[in-house]
Amino acid sequence: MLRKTLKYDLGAVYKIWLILSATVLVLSVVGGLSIRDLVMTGDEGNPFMLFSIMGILVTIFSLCAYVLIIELLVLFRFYQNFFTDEAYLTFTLPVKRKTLFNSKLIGAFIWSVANIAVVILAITIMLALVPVQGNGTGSALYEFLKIVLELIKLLFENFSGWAFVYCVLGVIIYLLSTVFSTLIIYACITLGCTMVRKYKLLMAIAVYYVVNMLISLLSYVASFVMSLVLISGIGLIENYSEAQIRVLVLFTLIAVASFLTVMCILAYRFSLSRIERRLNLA
Amino acid sequence: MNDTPVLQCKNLTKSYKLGTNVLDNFNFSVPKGKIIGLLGPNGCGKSTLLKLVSGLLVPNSGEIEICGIPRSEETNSLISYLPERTYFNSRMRVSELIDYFSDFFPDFDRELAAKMLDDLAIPKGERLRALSKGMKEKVQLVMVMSRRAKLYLLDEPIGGVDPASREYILNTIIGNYSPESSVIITTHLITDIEPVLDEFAFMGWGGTILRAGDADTVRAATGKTLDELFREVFRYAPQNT
Repeated sequence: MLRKTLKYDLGAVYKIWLILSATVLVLSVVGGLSIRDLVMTGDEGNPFMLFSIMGILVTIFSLCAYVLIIELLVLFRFYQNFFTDEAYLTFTLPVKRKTLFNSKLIGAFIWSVANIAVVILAITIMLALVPVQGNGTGSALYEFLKIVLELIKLLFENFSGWAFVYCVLGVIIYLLSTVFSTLIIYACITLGCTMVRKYKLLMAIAVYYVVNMLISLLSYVASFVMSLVLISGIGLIENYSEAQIRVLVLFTLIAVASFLTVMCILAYRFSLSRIERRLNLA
Repeated sequence: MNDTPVLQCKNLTKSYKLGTNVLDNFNFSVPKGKIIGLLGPNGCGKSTLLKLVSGLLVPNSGEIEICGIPRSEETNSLISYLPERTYFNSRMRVSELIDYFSDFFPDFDRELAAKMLDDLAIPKGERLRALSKGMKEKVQLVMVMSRRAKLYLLDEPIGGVDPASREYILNTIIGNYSPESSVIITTHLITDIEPVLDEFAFMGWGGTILRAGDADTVRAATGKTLDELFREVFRYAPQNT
């Protein structure tokens, strides 16, 4: 059944995703050419400067809007399918609520990854069109890739085999944070919509606002504590051996991944349990 | 022959707010092969009962069994539920709805759905948002009645449709008759549905069954129609204000 529910969840967004992705990629060409014009002609005596600046701004704005629109569409579909009149169909399907929720989660994850892929592709197109020299020679993409390769080389030189483990952990942390960002919003929508019978969406937004404030507050406290630890421990860190620093980095990454995993499990179980036990479509 | 009722509610209690039970220790049983009219005033718990049976509400206490199986997502495949509101995604086309129902309900009869849509002159290529409220309700009814379910729960199935279509819809309900399945209909349009009912149940406040029985027998015994009996019973009900 997961395959079927996922088919409809992805199908509901893919047309808009295709149109927006194509638009964003076309605009990235416009953005790239605009930057190219500015680099080659400069800002003096350039009659098209205003258009070039506008082209760049439109491209940046469209990239942000693209990500936001797809995210909002996915979230709105979750709300619509589970908490509006459409839920009368959703929850009378012969499908377990867990499967329905998993489908929404997997769908959101797929779109998040697809969004990132399109944004990376758009930036790559822009960089490929931008020259490094004023005479139009060289490519910003080439320079950018050179810097990235240098950084990777540096990482592997300093940390040898450990660098691979760090990279893997980095990818895991990225994936977990993507899942968590969806789960926390799903949890807020679920809590808000199962607390009241009217004004569900407003309540969901209010809950998200409060949760977001709490998370920000906790982040400030955590970064403050970390700063204190770093300031008081600089002398100690300097005395660490290379091997000890490698282990320290490894444990930090594992701690972050573990924390995100626990948070994901909590948000998942909370949302699912409310959908299974507290959802009343009056 | 297996005599397990299609629906059995045991000591069912549901309250939306503390201290007010919409259903209070409600007991109800529906045998196979019957079309039952669940009739009562607004707010007496008819829709609540159908939502509990279809799993849209969680009971405070009590048990619900469908064909002897405790209510769960599994029993959704045995129930075909028509709510009293429009509940399909309005961006979907009618033809996409047929695909959707075919995908999720193995007992969905595509040919029957297509025939009923043609009979009711509903264009299959149209999006739901382009249809009138009455047309949307017809589409919903077609989808629900095109399944070969064990239990049909129809909440106000003819409330929003024109009188000419009501006859077709009621004939469809009778046409779907099977000795293995039952239909529960709630409505205020008693006169319209009376001819199709095998049995009736007058539901009072708190889910009390004030009067129930075989429709023909009661009509013969009292010389009154169900509509007249309904008016009589609820005119004198103490809380029926």
